[in-house]
Amino acid sequence: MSDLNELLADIGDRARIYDVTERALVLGRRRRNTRRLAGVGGIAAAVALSITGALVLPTRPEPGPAAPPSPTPSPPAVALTACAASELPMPEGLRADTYHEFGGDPSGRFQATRATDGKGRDFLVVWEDGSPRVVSEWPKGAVRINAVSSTGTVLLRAGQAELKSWVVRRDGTTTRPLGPGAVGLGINSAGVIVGQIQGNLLMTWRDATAKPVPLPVPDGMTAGDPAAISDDGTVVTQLFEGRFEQTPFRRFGPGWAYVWPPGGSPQRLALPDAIDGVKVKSSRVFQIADGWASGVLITGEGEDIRPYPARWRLGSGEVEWLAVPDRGEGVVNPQGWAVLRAADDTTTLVRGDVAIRLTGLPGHTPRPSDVTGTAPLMVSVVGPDARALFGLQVSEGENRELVYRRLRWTCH
Amino acid sequence: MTDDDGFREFVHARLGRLSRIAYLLTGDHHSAEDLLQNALVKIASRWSKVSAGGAPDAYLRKVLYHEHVSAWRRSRHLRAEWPTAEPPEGGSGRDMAAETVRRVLLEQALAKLTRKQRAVIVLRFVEDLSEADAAAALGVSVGTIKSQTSYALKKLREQAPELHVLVREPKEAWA
Repeated sequence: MSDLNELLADIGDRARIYDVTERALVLGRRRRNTRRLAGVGGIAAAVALSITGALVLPTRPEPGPAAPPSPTPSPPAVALTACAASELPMPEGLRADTYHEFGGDPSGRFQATRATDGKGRDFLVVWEDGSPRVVSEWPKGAVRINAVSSTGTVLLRAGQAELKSWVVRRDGTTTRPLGPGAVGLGINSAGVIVGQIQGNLLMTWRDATAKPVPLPVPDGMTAGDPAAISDDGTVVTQLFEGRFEQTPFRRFGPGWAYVWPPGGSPQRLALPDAIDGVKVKSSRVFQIADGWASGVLITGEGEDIRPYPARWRLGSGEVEWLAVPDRGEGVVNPQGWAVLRAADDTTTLVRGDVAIRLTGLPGHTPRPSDVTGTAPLMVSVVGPDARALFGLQVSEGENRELVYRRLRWTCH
Repeated sequence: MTDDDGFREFVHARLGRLSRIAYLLTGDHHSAEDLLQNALVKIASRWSKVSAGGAPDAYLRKVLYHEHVSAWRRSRHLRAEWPTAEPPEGGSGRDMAAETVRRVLLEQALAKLTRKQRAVIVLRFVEDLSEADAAAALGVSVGTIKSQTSYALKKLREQAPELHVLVREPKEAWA
């Protein structure tokens, strides 16, 4: 015989002990340290958005960009609690442990890397939903994967000194973007490419074989990299003050994140004057999706440079950022998930109340980044809902050489 | 004792009960842990004031239930993404005992309640709070507690007719 309260007690017996005390203390401390800013642009008070200190600011007085048509709603925050690392499988007979070239599409479906058969031939390997496949020979001179599209097309480029790039489609077809010194930087699911030609001139290509079409850039500004293009054709990249035509992708002076709505003129993305009392000196933008662009706000200079992962809502021009600066590469996706690297090289996935420390595969000697200049974990892709992350684990081999492992972190 | 130590001591002494309530409110381990963490973060961030206020238990209850009601809105879709994460225990291999059957029926029926109705059920039948205290915890009127309790029980009876005789209005004397 049981009554409702006895049955409920029975259900309650199935609970585990959820000891979240220490996590609560850490996150509570961050919440306490959150600074609330108000009155930017002369509008109402700012609202703290998340426990990691994200703030929503109204737009600056300058006009915000037009809302992109029909943005997909951002995937809401999910309650993730842990991430487990596993190594991406390689095609038989190939290895990639000496190569750092790695990238993936923002959806998390495709990843790409350089691999070798150990007999002098290199290949472009692409994973589709976790399964690796040799797509083509690795183009001679390519040293970097600039972008991977959500349909599996890979943009490769040569070193900084050489203006050269390749577009490798999923079927292995390899082309070069048209135009002198053309370099593709970003590609959307329709195959539209954004990049530059010689002279740092910002261009789009309708597809891998089309002629480049220039995008307008304000007088006295020079386009930088990276750049991204959304499925509706909205482009984001960084513009530097000054004209630098002789050398590709030079980064001098302050640069600012800009957006080009489809067919529209460039508009600077809003930013606060200061974070924690330190002037914001620069902004960069890396990705665009679901009506949001993501990048970093940068304060300080020299050794005091602090990049704060940030994102902009393109429809309203609002910007929000994490109160915690990043020591790493500024990995943040348009959905608001960021990967923060601390001074001691620990790497943490954060969003809202979630803060999950990422670890690599056990048994591999980590190399401190102040020795190698390379973090032990380099996350390059955070999927839209952060259930899948991709990147490299860098460790030390038998002869103290750097060994790169391609990892997927599965978070739940 | 530092603030952090005081917070630890406070939470550890209540962790079992808090875990049970969080689980009863949410119905799965993931959500229960999230709920408890979110509530405790809010408490931790202002612990010195909360503890100085002299009624940390009442404050924590208020935060926990409020967090549940608001978090539920945000994560309702999410719960559907973990349909098989925690299958009912003892569901195969042998006949389930009658008590287990009732418990599973009740779990299924609870999942059909609104977040507020479920909160009211936990406050009244698990925490054994009076209508006035339940109203204070949820920040609603006593009348709302009465009506939500009534709606919730009616819904439970509809969803699980087998539990009909078990699902009765709580006696205010319990308070």
